[in-house]
Amino acid sequence: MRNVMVNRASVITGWGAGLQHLPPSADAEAAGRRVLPIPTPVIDDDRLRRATRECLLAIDCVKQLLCQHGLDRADLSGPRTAMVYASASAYAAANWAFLHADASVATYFPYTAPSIVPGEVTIAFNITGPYVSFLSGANAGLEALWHAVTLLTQDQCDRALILGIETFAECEALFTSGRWLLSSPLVETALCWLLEPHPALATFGYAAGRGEDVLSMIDMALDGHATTGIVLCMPTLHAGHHTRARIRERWPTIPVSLVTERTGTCLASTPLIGLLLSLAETHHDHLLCISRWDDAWSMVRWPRLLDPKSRASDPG
Amino acid sequence: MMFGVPRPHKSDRIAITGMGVVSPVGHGVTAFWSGLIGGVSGISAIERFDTSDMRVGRGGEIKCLAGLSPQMPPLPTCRASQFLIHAAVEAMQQAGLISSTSTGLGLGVVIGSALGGIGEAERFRAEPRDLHALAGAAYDGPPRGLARWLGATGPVLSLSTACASGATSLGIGADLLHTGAATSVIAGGVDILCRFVMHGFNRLRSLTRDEVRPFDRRRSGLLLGEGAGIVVLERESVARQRGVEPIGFLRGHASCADGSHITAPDDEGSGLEHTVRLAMRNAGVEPEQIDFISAHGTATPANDRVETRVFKRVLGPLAYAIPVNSIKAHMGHTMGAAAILETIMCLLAWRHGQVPPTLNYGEPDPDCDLDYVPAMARAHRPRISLKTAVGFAGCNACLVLEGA
Repeated sequence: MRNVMVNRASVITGWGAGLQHLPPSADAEAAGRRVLPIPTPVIDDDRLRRATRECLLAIDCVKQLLCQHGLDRADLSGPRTAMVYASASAYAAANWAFLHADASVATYFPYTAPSIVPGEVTIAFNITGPYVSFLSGANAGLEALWHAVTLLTQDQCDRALILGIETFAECEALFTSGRWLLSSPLVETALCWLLEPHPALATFGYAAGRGEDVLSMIDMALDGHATTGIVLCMPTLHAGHHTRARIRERWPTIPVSLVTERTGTCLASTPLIGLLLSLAETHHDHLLCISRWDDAWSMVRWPRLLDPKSRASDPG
Repeated sequence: MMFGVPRPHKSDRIAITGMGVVSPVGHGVTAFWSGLIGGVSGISAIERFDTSDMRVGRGGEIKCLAGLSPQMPPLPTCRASQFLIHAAVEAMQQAGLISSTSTGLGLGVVIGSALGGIGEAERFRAEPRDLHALAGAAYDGPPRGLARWLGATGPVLSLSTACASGATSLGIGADLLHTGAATSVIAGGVDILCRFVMHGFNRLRSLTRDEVRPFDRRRSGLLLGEGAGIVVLERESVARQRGVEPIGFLRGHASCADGSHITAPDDEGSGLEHTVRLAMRNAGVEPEQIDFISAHGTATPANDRVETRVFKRVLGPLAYAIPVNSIKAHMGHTMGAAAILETIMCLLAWRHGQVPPTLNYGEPDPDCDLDYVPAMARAHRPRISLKTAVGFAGCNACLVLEGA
């Protein structure tokens, strides 16, 4: 049986590079700023002259991953590396720009396709393995994690690169129009997480559904499984506080972290950041990570290895 | 909600128990099949929006949608959601799920699309105060609309591998079933014609002013179309327990990256080749078992040449004896819906013992030297079919299908 380990990750957010820059309270730290952008990286490559900012952020993030963990391009290239992408927002700027451009040449049409962001990464690093983009709003991050683990478990690849990109700066008005869906601040994110198989890890679980009460879903997830921490990711803080209170009331001994409080709104990247934070900062053995989008929940059971070799390396 | 655990071995076959179609050549599976076999062209002048500033104003536009039963809930405004709901209702009726009291329990929804809710984005642009249009403009707007309308309680996944999305959605749906995260899955693809996409392809000069001529020496590009295709996926044991006879099986699938160019296929087709080989390996199928190939066949010079090369490399001399078709001349390239409509065509070919022709094929190209089923439908009952699909950003997908 091939099981999976958390191996290496690189996280850049509007707060800075690495998890150590995340504030205790995103809302307070933002001090009224509605969007925290990531500066556009400069990549000296003529091939990318028409590329959107999202593509440059993605390529730069993978470069950082390689640099931080002493890897090179050859470690990712080829058909045994999978690319699994998750985003809820990174296509919006290009689509909106093209929609308004009409006869002008503002955006090169192929860059309106969401898959162009992971596509540019596959080209830059010659990744030719399994490949899919999940775009199910804020739940896409956990879907990507489920799919990456499935690919590894079924021997479709030797390593899976999960890429999460969220951008807001170019179409801030669009996102703030939907303010009933999202809390401020909107925090741009570029995240990549390299998963590799490891025989020591126990079962990984995934569940998702619409319309059910979160407590009954957690009940089912906890059934017969030790859970020492719950990572909660909600698109609005108001809903997050309410849900956290209900969970605490029902399971007072299980710590619940509302990641959105620290990150701000990072949409599909929030649960991935939340898991990385918990793995890096706490000693929880088994995590339950929960995200919500519209009326749909997504949930991952991530049993953590205690073997030091399999611990998450510092994603900063 | 069910907790799914990825497993190394697939214990049960994935059965297809229902199919639904909204297409430019016919609304519903029966009309779709008649149109394909009869060589009907769904290409016409586009009427829903202005194309006067574009080089090409034709495409596979759906002129009207038949109504649903008055007992059913009203349809949402979003055109893509409407297409999905029509196709899903047909597929679920065939699968015996629509009237079941347990319709929504554990029912997952996996929808692929190249454009998502872009039609709603166009509506929001015209009516900036319509926040419903804004909410529906996200890529996951149409799948959420479908799931809500159906009352599905399982996972709702929206994905994109550009124009290969319809094929990838079936693969992801099968994985949900294999890992136990859903009991049944509505999987498929959708895209609509709108100014956004017509303008985009117009600017790329990919649209032909001629007929769409897949694999023909004179081929000069594609025309766009719109539609939706849905299949119901279940584990075979679950379907048989319900007393439902499978239509066919998804034996294997793969979706892989080219890693070479954002729009053009890798000239050697190595990404597509790897995808086809991986799908066949996953299916446990050898080249001599392949009876039919439903090609992506866009009628662009590069795509058809590369696909032909890949089929010959993977299947060797056997490739010359296997019928290959493309139905994009019938209805244009329906983008996210294309691969799922073509999947349904493969299963119908098995059921009816006929393979639809590649329309407008007349002059052989030395680079495309396989049997493309020219002119008219052919009597042939393909038990095992290969379905290939390709999209922007180096997306490749392949399905291995088996008739039941």
